[in-house]
Amino acid sequence: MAFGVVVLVTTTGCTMRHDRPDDAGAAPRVLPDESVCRAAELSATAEDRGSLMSNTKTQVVLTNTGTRQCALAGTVGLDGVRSDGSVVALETSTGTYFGEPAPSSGTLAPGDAAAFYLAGGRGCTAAVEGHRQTWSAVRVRLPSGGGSIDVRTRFDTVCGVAVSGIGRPDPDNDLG
Amino acid sequence: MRISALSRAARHFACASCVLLVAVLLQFWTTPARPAAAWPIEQHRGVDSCANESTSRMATLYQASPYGTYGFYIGGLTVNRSCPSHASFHNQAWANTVKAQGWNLQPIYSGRQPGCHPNTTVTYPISTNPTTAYSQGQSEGNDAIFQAYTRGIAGPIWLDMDIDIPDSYSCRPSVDNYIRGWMGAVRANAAYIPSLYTGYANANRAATFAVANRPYQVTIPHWNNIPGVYGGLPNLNRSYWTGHQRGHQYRGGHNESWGGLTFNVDNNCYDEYVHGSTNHSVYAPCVQ
Repeated sequence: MAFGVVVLVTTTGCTMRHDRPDDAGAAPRVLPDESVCRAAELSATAEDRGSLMSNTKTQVVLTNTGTRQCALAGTVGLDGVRSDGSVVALETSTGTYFGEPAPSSGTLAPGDAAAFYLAGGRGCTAAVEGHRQTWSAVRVRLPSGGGSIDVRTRFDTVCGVAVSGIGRPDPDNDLG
Repeated sequence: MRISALSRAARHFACASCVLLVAVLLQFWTTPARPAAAWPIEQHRGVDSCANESTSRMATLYQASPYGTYGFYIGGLTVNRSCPSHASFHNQAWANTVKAQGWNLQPIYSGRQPGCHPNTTVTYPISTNPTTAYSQGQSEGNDAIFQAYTRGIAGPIWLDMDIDIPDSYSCRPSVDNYIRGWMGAVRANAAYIPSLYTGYANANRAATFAVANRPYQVTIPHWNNIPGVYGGLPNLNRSYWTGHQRGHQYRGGHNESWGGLTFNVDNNCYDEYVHGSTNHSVYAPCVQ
């Protein structure tokens, strides 16, 4: 089940700010929730989880490497990072062929992990003709203003990309 | 000019020889006998998914959508890794319930995959030794039969050979042998119809396998939104699998809303055998 995006909108409430002439008519700033996980306190790894009926699956695991419990729920945004460092926003759809990860509590204690799926494909005409679209890294834009974190993966976006919500990582039930 | 009896006889002999020659040539590509009455041929559309859809959602999808066949996974090493709970979720009780709703089923098995594709990481590769690969195919083909049997499913079972291997790739002989082994094992059981889901290169080669190891029917992925099994599959040799033996996956995973619910599915167009429901309905025919 997808998690709704947790968004807390905080306004300053400071009358000085709203009385300043250069703020006249300006929308209130949206500040990130202090409880959300920041990119600096997460590590990200990508696991190729195979493909079925030409739908490809990569699981991105986000681990809390910080010292505090933080909130991590909702849906990420994605950019592709080229080898020269340039960044391309990736158009993503929500909901994947592989469903959603098992639901989590929405918070991560230090050392705990959450995950989301990237779903792509190899059945579109471009892929059938042998074309690919891979990146030096995929930049994961965290929900609720948590910043972004790059993850190295061979995930191919040539047929588009869909993302799941954030939940618990799939069990590692490889039979070896 | 009067035609002599001798030349008339010669023409008759030549005609008979032509008929015989055609008959001999047809043996090279013949449709193996199957109990047609047991398995309905469906010319219609369906979907496949790796989500764990409850029977209530399946009922809504059946009632609200134009789809008549549902593809799901019954097992295999790749299924266990990509969709860990899927195969166990779709047990015999689930299958019986959705068939009673009217669904035809496309049971899919996905095991080992080619390990020589340069752009893909495979956790369970097919052996690079062709002899071993053949044995692996046989073993997994027998497992597919078992998985189908425990779900009360007979008829066609699809092998999902997801990674298409061009003729020039080093593991092509092993991949072909794996497919031969799998198809041979399934074909050896008269209750099952060996079916292959794969890309153009694998499929065009599989069409030339010996009959005993050849897929009886194929489904090809080409997400071109052209739901036809000939016009929509431009790279599959038109002389192969011509007797209602083709399916086309014409659109990849995406959201669709039916009956107020959202489903993420591939779209398929079937002109081939599927596992029939007990309450069968006919839906829109697939464009040829």
